[in-house]
Amino acid sequence: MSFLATRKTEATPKERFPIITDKLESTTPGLYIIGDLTGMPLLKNAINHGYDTVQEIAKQRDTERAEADYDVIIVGAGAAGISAAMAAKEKGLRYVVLEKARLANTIHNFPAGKSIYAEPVELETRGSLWLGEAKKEEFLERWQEAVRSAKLDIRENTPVSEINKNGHFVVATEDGETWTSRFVILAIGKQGTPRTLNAPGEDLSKVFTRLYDPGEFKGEDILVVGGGDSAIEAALALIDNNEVTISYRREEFTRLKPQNASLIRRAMDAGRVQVVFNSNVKEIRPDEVVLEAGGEERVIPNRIVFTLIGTRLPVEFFKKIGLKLENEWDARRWVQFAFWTALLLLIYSVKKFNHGLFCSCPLHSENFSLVAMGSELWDQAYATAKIWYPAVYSALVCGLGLFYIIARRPSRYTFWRTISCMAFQTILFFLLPLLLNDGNIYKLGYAWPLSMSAVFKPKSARILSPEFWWIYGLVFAFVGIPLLTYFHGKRYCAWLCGCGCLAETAGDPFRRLAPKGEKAKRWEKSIYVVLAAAVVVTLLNALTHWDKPPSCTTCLLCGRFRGGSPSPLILFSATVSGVGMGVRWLPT
Amino acid sequence: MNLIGKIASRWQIGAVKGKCIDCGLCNMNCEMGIDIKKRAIRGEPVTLRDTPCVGCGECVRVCPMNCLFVGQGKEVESKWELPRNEEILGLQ
Repeated sequence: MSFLATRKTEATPKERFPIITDKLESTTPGLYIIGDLTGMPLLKNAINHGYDTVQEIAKQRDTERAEADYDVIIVGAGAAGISAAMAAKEKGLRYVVLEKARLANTIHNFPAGKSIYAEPVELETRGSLWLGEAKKEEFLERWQEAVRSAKLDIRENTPVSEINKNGHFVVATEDGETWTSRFVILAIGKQGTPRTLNAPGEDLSKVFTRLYDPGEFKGEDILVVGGGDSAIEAALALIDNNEVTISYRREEFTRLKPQNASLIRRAMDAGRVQVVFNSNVKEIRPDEVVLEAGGEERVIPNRIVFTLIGTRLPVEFFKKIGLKLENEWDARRWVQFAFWTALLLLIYSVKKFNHGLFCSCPLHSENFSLVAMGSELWDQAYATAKIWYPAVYSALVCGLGLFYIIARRPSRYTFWRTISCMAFQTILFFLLPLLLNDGNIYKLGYAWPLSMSAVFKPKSARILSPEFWWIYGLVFAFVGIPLLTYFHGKRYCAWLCGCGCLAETAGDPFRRLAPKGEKAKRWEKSIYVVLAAAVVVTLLNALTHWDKPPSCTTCLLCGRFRGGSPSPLILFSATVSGVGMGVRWLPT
Repeated sequence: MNLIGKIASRWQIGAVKGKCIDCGLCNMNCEMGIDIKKRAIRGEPVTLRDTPCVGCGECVRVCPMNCLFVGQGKEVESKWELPRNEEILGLQ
């Protein structure tokens, strides 16, 4: 699409966004972060952010007092900033907008004649800033007119250098002036911080990070670095009148929009553009560039370079003004993490092993038990944990599930997913086993190989017969699960399984932290090792103790086919919960 | 389940071709680290073959363009909207 087309290029590396609340407030109270900086692109979204944040500030204005020149300083005059300024003016707030360059600079920098769209159509636009479909020039004119007629106080060419909080905010600009306010809205977008090559010569004046007007260049040797849509669009716009070479570090264009992909393919086939795949820029010199491709250096004549390898977050600026970023591990967080992990592991162990902590595993002999097994204290602890563990677990899933439904504006699909999580956890894994006092009930939801014992004949059964549970376990694992997968995909984890349900609810704020990329994908494959191990252990168990079901898959890891023990797997799951709990429930 | 899903699964997350704006929200919010965007740009379904998708549906929820959707079988295979880029750039 359109108005974002000149923006992102490469596979976006995992970026660390500043931590913000649902109301877009950063870790510095009173400092709000809106628009593109929140990771949510789209003009409409930025406009709504601006409007919503000012409504929030206007509410607090009446309850707070501070000796400051302004109620709110808005940094950045893009879509979000202008919208915020309009809303601030309407609300009668004392405000000022400090803009590094000029009004709507990002849109100014779009190629001439580019269409801008007001997607997504379904989303309403809040506030009074106009948004509609138009060519770049008309779009800008309408916004300039809107700013003029609203008489908005926007100071252009006023880059902000520092933001400090000392009771109220003190905002310093590069020309040495200071401005004070009770609130600050940071709406500076991502366009001001292009990614760099880190190659010598990058600072030469012939190197550009953006193509403004293709018509400026005629008969030049031009190198375009990058393989995303913005790089390809720039190259395509230049090939008619110039000798264009594209340097891309991957072996093919994989992320292009279909239109761009076919256009560049056609240009390559016609020999109108040279593309050097698997190449890096080694050095940029005044009249040539050095490319490194496949271990060889290639020197090509060059007059102009465009590095269009994407933009990134202004992380240095965030740090300078003291904002906390996502996924930062300081000492405090490690302590929280260790505390919750240890606590959960302890509770889990007590609940799991009625014969003593770590007791049956040869690696952790009985001597390691914190409480002597068989003692009264242990029995009490076990009895309590057995009821309270699933109770707390279910309460967490339900409570956080409700929170998700209320706060996260779920789609119909995610709404029912959450309901399913809550229902399965509460009914199947808590209420039924508790009321019927029969461990076999768990087999309704936990199939082999998740539960190793599910395919073995249980010793006893209070409800129905051992034969029933045996057959049920076999049918569920080898007929039920395949059918479920065929018709519903791999939804077991997110919709039914207890740990998945906790992950979907308690883990919801941490989705962004999941590891990404090829390496993570390879790790994912380790699940097949576990599966193979489960098959082996099941077979061994069937051959040696055909009448005695093992207690869980993880027995494998401590070398015993019977009896349970905390294994690396359990440790890991407790650890995962520890992260979730620690971060969510304690102030960071 | 993953293994079975590789061989046969009717249910998939589909993508409407030409709607993706490359914003990366789907990838960012995917708890399983799947490169959804790459497929969305090409208009390919997501829960196919080697993806460890667990069907949480968050990518569909966060997609600002309604490019992603949940579908069955053939539904997910041939969705197409007219491209706009050529017109935008004055190329053709």
